[in-house]
Amino acid sequence: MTGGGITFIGSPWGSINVDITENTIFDCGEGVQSGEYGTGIFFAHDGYSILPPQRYYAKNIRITDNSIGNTKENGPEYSGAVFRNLPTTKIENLYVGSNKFVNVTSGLSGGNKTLTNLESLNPKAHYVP
Amino acid sequence: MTTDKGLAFGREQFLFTPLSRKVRGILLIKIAVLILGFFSVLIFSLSATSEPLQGSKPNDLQSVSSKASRDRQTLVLSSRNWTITTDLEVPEYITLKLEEGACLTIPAPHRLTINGKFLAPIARICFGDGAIVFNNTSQTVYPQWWGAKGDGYTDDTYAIQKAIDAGANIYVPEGVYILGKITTKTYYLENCILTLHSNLSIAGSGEQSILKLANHMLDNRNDNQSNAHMMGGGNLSDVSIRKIKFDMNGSNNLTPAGKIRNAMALRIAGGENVNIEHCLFYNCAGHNVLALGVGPNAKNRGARIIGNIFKNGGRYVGTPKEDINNPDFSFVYVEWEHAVIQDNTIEQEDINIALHNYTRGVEIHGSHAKLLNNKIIGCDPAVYIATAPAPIENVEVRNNSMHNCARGISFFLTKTPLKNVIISSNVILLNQSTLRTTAGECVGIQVANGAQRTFSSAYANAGPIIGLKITNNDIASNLRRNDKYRGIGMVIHSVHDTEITQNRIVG
Repeated sequence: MTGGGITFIGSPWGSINVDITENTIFDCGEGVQSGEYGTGIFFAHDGYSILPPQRYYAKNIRITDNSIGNTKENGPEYSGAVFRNLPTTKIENLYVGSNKFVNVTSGLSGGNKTLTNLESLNPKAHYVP
Repeated sequence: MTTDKGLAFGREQFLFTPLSRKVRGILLIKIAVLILGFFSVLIFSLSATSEPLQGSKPNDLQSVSSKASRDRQTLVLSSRNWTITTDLEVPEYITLKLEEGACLTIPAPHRLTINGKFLAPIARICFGDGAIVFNNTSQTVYPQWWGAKGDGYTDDTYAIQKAIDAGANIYVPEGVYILGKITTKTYYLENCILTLHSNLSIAGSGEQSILKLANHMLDNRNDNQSNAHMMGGGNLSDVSIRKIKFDMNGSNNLTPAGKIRNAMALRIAGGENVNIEHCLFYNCAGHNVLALGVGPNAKNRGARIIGNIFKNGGRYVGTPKEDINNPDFSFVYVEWEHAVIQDNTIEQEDINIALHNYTRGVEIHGSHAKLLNNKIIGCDPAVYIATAPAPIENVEVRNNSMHNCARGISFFLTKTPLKNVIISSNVILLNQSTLRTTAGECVGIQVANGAQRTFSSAYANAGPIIGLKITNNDIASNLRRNDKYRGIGMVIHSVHDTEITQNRIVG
């Protein structure tokens, strides 16, 4: 895939009760250019913070047991982020766990890269690499 | 057997009241004949005379029909012209047989109604502007009876329309039938060449039974809302079209600049139970190839589009000559509920030209639709699920292959909700055109909540998509590193109660 695997967008009413499980996402981003991402799963939940209040708001999202590898971002070789823009402040009750990563530099990319950040920003969210 | 209404004999019932000795005698004789001869057939042979078939002359069709009305009989009309100058009805129990060279002339406003079996050579036998009606629904009716040539030159519109008007079961033998006369309707979108009716079957032999749109159908029309649908009708029920090849002759019917052009193969505005099976549709320069739209006072449900082959349409019409004024095209467009679209092949043979503009494979606008085992090649998108003009629910897209498509499955929501969609076990291989002018990424499954590709508040103000299952699909691409737009496996936009499981997005 010359672009990303899955782009998961929350707007405008939010995404609720979504399971993204047991998917195989490989070799993404072959054609990405500067500023583009070949991420396994790209989140776009960072939209408006104005009314209506539920805009770009999501809850009960499970991302588990996926196999993701050979992602690519901005460079000549594969090895990019599996998740980009994982929006801990925009999703309530997010569970990310038991995913298998192959040839990637980081499980997360974007503003909230670490498990610590995830838990501190949103106590209901879990990231289990 | 007697009834309180008279005498019933065999499958027919005749009224003879009161029951006379004479009738009883006839009845006994008939029973004896039946027992001894076991359904022997009595044949009346009628010799030709120079006198017309009218009045009570003993040798005219009406008189003989009347005489022969007490048993199953074959009435043979010998080689001559039989003119019908009064309304005449041939009973169900008479088989009417025309010998080689015999023909019927029915001047307007007269009508010949045939309720029984009709046997005639496959040649011109019907003349005059009067009507002939076959009420026996199993009776095969041939356009040749009204002079259809099928020679690839003669305009056969009149003959085929007369056949459709006359019967319920039309057979189009092998040949190339040119269709070139438009019937103008009150509403311009209903303009068509052949007008269908309910309870109708049109069948052919397959690839060799060809209905071909004539050249330059709309070139000399001055209005900008012309249409030349090959077949059309409104509020139709129980229509079957099988094994016909529709040559839409797109390269000789290019859309003129600034005109609304809708030269579809078939457009039905409202109805139920329409079957289109094992037909071939080639090179359509219209807005759609098949369109089943909702109509007033119609149930708008029950379409079966099965085992057909669709090749080329929209911008690419089978030749390098592009239909550049046709930017928005779908092969199959269905607004009805309970549509089954199965085992069809839908193909753009030149994807570089075809993908220049939107070219949809199947466009679904109705609830309870099933798209199963179809092969869709060179489309953008292959499958389009849209809520206009009404909310829809329970749509199943399963086991389809979508090759060399700029998008596989895409959604279009216009202010009305969408619920319960299953997308399962499809194979999607993305590609695009170097000529492509439509913007946006190539996407395997694009759950856009709004117009075309993304959210648009102007369209998608009806809420999220609810109840979506995307399972066990394979998505890959033939896209190249330097293509203008990237390829993305899925774009999922504002969904509730959704499972995205066991899909493979690879390479």
